[in-house]
Order: sequence, then structure tokens, then C-alpha cells
Amino acid sequence: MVVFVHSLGSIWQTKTRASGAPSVWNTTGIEDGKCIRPRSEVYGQVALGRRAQLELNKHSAIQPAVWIASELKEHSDIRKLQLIVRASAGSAADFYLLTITEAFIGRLSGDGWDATETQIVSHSHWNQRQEIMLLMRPFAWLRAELGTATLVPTNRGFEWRISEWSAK
Amino acid sequence: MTCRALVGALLICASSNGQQTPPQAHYVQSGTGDVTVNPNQPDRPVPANHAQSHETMVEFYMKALNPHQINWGTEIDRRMAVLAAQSIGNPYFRLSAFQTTVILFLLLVCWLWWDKMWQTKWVAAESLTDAINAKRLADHRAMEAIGQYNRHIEMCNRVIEGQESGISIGKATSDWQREVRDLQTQLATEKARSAKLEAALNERNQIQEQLEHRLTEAEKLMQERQNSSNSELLARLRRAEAELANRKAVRK
Repeated sequence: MVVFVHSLGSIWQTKTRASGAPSVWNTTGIEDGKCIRPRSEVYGQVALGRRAQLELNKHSAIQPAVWIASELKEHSDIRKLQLIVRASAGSAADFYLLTITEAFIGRLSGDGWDATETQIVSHSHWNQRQEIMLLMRPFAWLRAELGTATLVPTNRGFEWRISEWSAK
Repeated sequence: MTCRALVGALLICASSNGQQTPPQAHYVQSGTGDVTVNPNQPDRPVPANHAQSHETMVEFYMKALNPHQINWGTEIDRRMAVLAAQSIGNPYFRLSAFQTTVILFLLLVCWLWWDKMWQTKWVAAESLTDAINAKRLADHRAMEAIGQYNRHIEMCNRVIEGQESGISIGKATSDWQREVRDLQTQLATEKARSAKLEAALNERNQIQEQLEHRLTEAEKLMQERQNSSNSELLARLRRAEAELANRKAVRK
């Protein structure tokens, strides 16, 4: 499937395999003042393929772009999504991979999105802080403490259409 | 030679006894030995020292099947008699047979009893399960009724309090919160739908603008082509008129 990768989580995990090639994953986490800890409520990983690792090494981050990715799978309570290779720039994204925190529109609750259009990849929560990685379809919505946000696709990615409760 | 002498003596004795015997056989010297010739069948000489066989075919086969000549009917009767004497006729056998029968009967009774008890236990278990299910259902209904009653009493209390205090009452906070959340969700859904429709409308507008632009360009092109074809026709007409006038002038 074609995924527009907008933002990833705070934690990077690497492991060197027996063949010597490194495996790189990303997941959500929360900084508690000392370090970033997973504090996962829903544990999921975005696995980076070789192409993605090359891009990560080149830019020190994954630039917002369209990627061909695997389906989101769940195995032993671990959700996994793999970024395989970049898609052509003009490709229409089926999903948007993004990570949001409580600073966006407040904390999200479990029913803060439409389950048919939004899938949760990873969710970290600690005290009042929250980091959540979501896989959203175009025009999917989020409902949080401070308002709603609708993902509207544009030519170069997407934009949020936010309306806060206090603004009414 | 001794044998021949004995046979001859026997034949002489038999004839001397005066018994009426079949026609006397003659002994004739043959190249291979003595042969006997029956006067009734003179053309079938029989060797003199050959004992004539008197057994029939049935006797031969019976001898082959029963070489020891045992009379099986008598033997079976004898063995049956022995068996009867050693079983029914034996008081110890009768006692042990009676005991075995009693044991088998008791085993049958035990099995029937066990089977009956097993069935009884199954029936009891089914009845017990029905009773437990009925109890659960009754408990659930009772809890629902109690909850409904409590809610009703709570509302009555609130009404009474409201009447006493003069402050109108409304829904509970949790109900309001739930309703607010539902409305927020509905609002978010509607906004997303609105955004989707808006995007679709923008796309349609863009397509329409493009189509209008292309239509305008096509109209312009058509107009230009029409104009160019009209001027050409006019020029041809003028040329034809001039040629006609020249021809008329030549005729005159």
C-alpha cells in the first residue's frame, strides 16, 4: 500500500543481525526528563527497510514523502508496519502515517477516531503526556480534549483542518 | 513248489467233501508260471498264485477314508456318555456351574445398576445446569429490576428535592458527558464529511474551469476557421463574377 509518511515516533531501535546488517525500528515514546521511554499502551513498530535506512543515514530523519509499505500486521501484540521503498512523487497515498502528541489538540481517548478509517500503530502514555502514531485514511478525523482535526489531502501531502471546542 | 502242492491238496479236499462247487478250474503251465483257467471263461486265464480281491469300490474308498475302521457313531456315543458322566453327572461340576451362573447374574445386576446410576447422574447434572442457568437469569433480571428501581427512586428523589428546593433538575453528569462526547464525535464526522465534499467540489470546479477554458478555445478556433472559409468563398465569388463579366464583354 502507498503511505505518506509524515512523522515518526521518538524512539529509534537498532539491532545488528547475524549477517551484520542492522535492523532499524521506530516507535513512540515519552521523555520523562531523564530519557525517552516507550511507556507503551499499544506497542507497535515501523520497520525501516534498506532503502529507508539509507535515507535515514543520509538525512538523519525520514523526510515527508510517499512510501510503499507493507500492511499493518499484528503478531504477539506487536503491530508492525514496514517501509519498503519510496513511491513516485505523484502517487496518491492510501494512508497517512503520522505521530501526534497531546500538544496537538489535547489528549486522544480510545474512541477519539473512526476505527474504519484510522488504525493505531503505537501509543505511549504517561501522566498527562501522550504520543500516538496513527495510520489514517484521507479525510479521517480525530476527536480530542481540545477539539477535532480532519486530515485533508493536498498536492504535497496533507493539511489539518482543526476546530477547537473553545473556538465555538 | 510247496505252495502249488498245498493248493492242489486243498482243491482235492474240497472236491472230496462232496460239496457242490462251481466248475473246476484247470491249472495250466504257462511261460511265466502256472495260470488257472475257468471253464466258464476259458479265454481269461488268472495267475494261480494271485489272491482274488473281493472288496467293492465303496469298500475301497471307505478303507481309504477310515483306514483304522473306527465306527464313529459308536465312538461319538461313547464320548458323549463320558462327557455327560463327567459334567452333568458330576455333582462338583453342577455346584461350580451354579456358582458361575450366580456370579454372572450378580455382575449383570451390578452393570445394570451402574448404568442406571450413570443415567441418573446425567439427568441430575442436566437438571442442575438448568437450575444454575435459571438462577443466573433470575439474578440478571433481578439486578436489572433493582437498577431500574434504583434509578426510578433516584429520579423520584431528585424530583422531590427539586420540588422542595424549586431548582429544576436535569440529567446526571455522566449522561451529559456521554451525550457531549457523542455530539462531538458526530460533529467531527460531519466536519470530515464536509471537508471531503468540499475537496470533491473543488476538484469538480477545477475540472469545470478546465473544460470551460477548452470550450472557449475550441469556439475561438471554430470562429477563426469559419471566418477564413467565408473570405475564401467571397474571393472565389468575386473572381467568378469578374470572369463572367469578361466573358460577357467578349461576346458583345
